[in-house]
Amino acid sequence: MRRTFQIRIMQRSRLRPLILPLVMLGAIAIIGLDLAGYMDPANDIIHTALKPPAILFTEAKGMVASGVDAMREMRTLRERNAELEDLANRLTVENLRLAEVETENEQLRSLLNFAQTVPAFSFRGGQIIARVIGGGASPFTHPIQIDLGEQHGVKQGMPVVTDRGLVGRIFHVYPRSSDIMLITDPRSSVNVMTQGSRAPGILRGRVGQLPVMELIPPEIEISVGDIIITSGLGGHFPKGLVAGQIVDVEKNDNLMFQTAVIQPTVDFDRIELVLVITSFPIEMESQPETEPISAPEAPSQ
Amino acid sequence: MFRIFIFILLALILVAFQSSALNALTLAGGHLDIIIIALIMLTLYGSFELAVLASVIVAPLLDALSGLPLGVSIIPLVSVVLLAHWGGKTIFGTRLGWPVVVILLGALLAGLITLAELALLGWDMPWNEIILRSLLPSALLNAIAGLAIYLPIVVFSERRETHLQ
Repeated sequence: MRRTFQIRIMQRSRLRPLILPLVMLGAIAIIGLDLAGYMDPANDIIHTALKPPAILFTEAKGMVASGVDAMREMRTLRERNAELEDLANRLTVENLRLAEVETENEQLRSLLNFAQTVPAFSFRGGQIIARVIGGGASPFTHPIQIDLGEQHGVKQGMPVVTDRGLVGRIFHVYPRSSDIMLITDPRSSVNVMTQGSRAPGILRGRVGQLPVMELIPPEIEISVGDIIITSGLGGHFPKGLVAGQIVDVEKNDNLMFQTAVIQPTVDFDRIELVLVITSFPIEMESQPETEPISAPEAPSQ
Repeated sequence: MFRIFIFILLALILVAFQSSALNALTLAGGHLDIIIIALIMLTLYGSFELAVLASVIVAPLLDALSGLPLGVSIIPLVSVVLLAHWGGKTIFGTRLGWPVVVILLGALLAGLITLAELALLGWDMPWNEIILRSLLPSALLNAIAGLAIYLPIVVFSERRETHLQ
């Protein structure tokens, strides 16, 4: 067995130098036959035999290529999506900013119109437009701070209004900011009167409730819906500023005065810009009646 | 007989794979030639005679699918097998970088022989352009692929020999 194997090895070794010439001869013969057209059937057989696996591999290649393309496309889409998200975020911010500017513009226009409708007021240095910069920490008083202070000519007691009506008055002045005591503050009291019947009274704030108009003479008829304006008495507020609207009347024959619950015309939760009236003519009791300075829409009940 | 059938079947699959899927895989103008790599591997780690037989079987298949005259690829592939066998037995052995070098040289050799054959058959061959833009990149690409294939084999066989000793 071992001898036979050795002989086969020796035979192989002897044949090796002949391999290349034999192969060359064979190759030349095949090429010659092919060029002469005798190998066409062999070509057909090879093509037929290789067709199924070639189709299989081509389809596999197509699938792989599709997968790679899909991954590339996904990456592109992801990048594009990120770009668009970034753009959308920037546009959203820009849109919000523009909306804010537009809102502020409208408010400024309203305040300007309001100021122009009050030529009787002498605004020292013109009207001061103040921006609310924060709310108070107290759950009862809710003072409002504005970004104008002593450096801007603001002094304690100055009335603060918006185009919708009376807000309150300055009660603390700092160099660059001030606190406003709202008419809803329990410490606030404002001389007011009804617009139609001219019934005088004092508007007082209450904790957690709508302010009330007190000390209304019982003989004067008042009713729900009446507009309340400042009377100008005491000289703290100019006459004719709209303060609110009567939403309830408490009348008792046993009491000396009537009381009315007032809905302020100003929405203090949404207030952003205010006017600080730095100077106004003091109204005397004998002066003729005046129309309300602002013309707010009737507040919803 | 069964082994020959399996052998031919594998050759068919390999050629189909080479001519379809790998055909699209190009890098700087070079094509990956898995046939040459497989033949060199077979020569160095298998049987020389089997490698020659494989070359003779595979070459016409490649020619048929490449649109070349049948038999043109026989001499180039057998030359590559002879080169790998000669270098492996006389100079380098199967270790060191010979497998990678023979892939580089073999791919170039096969390409040059094919070009010469086609030129002899009357084909108008732009030699310089083909060598620079196709043969060299292909040879480099195949050498890199061969390195990736042979390196684990060499490492594994050396560890095995060390372990046996």
